[in-house]
Amino acid sequence: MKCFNCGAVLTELDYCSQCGVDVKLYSRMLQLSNAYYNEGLEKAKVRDLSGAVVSLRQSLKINKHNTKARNLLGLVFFEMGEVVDALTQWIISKNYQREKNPANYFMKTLQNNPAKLETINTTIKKYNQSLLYCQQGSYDLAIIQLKKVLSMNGNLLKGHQLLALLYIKAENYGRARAELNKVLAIDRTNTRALRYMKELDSISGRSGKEEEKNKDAIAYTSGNETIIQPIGVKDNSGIHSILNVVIGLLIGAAVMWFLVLPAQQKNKNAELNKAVAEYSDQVESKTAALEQLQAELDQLKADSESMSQTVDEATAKADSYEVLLKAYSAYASKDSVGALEQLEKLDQESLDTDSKVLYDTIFGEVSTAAITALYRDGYAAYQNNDFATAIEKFGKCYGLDNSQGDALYFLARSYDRSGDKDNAKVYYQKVIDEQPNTQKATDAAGFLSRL
Amino acid sequence: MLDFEEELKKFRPSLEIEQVEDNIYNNNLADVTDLMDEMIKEMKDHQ
Repeated sequence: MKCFNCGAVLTELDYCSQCGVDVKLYSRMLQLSNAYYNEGLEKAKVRDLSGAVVSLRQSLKINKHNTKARNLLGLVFFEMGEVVDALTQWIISKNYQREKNPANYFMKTLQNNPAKLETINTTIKKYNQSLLYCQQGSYDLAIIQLKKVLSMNGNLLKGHQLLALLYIKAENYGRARAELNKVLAIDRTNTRALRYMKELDSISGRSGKEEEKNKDAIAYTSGNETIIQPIGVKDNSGIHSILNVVIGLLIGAAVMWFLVLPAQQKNKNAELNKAVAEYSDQVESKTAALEQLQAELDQLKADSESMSQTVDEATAKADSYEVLLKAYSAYASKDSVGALEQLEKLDQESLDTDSKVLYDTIFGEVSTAAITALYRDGYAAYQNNDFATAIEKFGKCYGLDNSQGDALYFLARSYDRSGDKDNAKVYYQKVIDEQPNTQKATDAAGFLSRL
Repeated sequence: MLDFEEELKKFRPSLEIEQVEDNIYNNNLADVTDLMDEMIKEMKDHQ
């Protein structure tokens, strides 16, 4: 024990041997502080935490340096869920006694478990939030929040008390009583909890009546819930659990069948429709492109045909000019028949005006001579019984000038004598038709009648 | 009979961990020894 005035170590004397201050009263006070500490310790041991807090506070009011009392007060606060108050006391304790102080161990234990500290802090914040909900009238939200808080930090007495109050408000007295019992299990003399419990007793008329009412039922606590089960009712929880699982599965299957699958089908259909629409657009665009290409192809074909026709016409014209040149060459070399043969090959339509004039000139000059030459050669062949040559020559002669009656007559005769009766009949008839009332017609009729 | 509103008013928000420092500073640490010390000083001043 040290002198409060000079800090010197005191002896058994009633005054300080160093500064002379009367320390009798001071010694008594320290003894009183220790007595309060002892009282607090005894109360804490029997879980009279509220009483312990009062005694320990009293002890500290008398002697703030009583670190034992302060450390114990911190422990009691911690047990009651008041972590901040506990830390406060331990820090102050450490400040007064740095060495060999159990507060160091308490704080170190907490600091070495930051997750626990964070959880405690979270529960404090949620408790404050619940209180706010209560003040705003959102009691259901407050109850839900408090249940979470107490599941994480079951020692938070204020949480249990508030939850009990809310249950009382909701006239859920069984649960309120369960919460209060939890409080009293931690702090047996918690004034507020005892007061609420008394209120509950008076509300429910518990003194005897409730027990009678619940004689046929037993109540037990599971977590935060109070379960009241009638006595005599067979516990079929196992069967019920299985039944519930089966019903749950059926409901799940029904939900899948009626809600999830149609929704998925709808999504799939929508995707398919979208894909079909996209493909349709693509097909339409490709069809349009195809039609355009087809039109271009047709145009190219038409152009090609036109070009081919132009080329054909040009080729025909070139051939005609070549033939005309050959005809002229034959004409120049006095070969009337050759010139006429060339002219026969000519397509007069392909000739222009000047060429047509040349053609007419050459044809006019060579046709008469050629007809004469053809008749002469034909008749010579006829005379020599070369009817094939005769038919060819007389045919050409008649073809060039159908007024050549003799050529027609001898053509008919050549067919007759060559054995070609059908052509002979045709040409005899032509002789009769084209040269009526002539000797040739008479002879032709005679020969025709014999065929 | 409990007055719910009145009871609710008695509940105060809990201090959070971050408020430990403020709580220490706001804690009145004076004890009887301090009072005695003060009284003795006052007596000496009067003399």
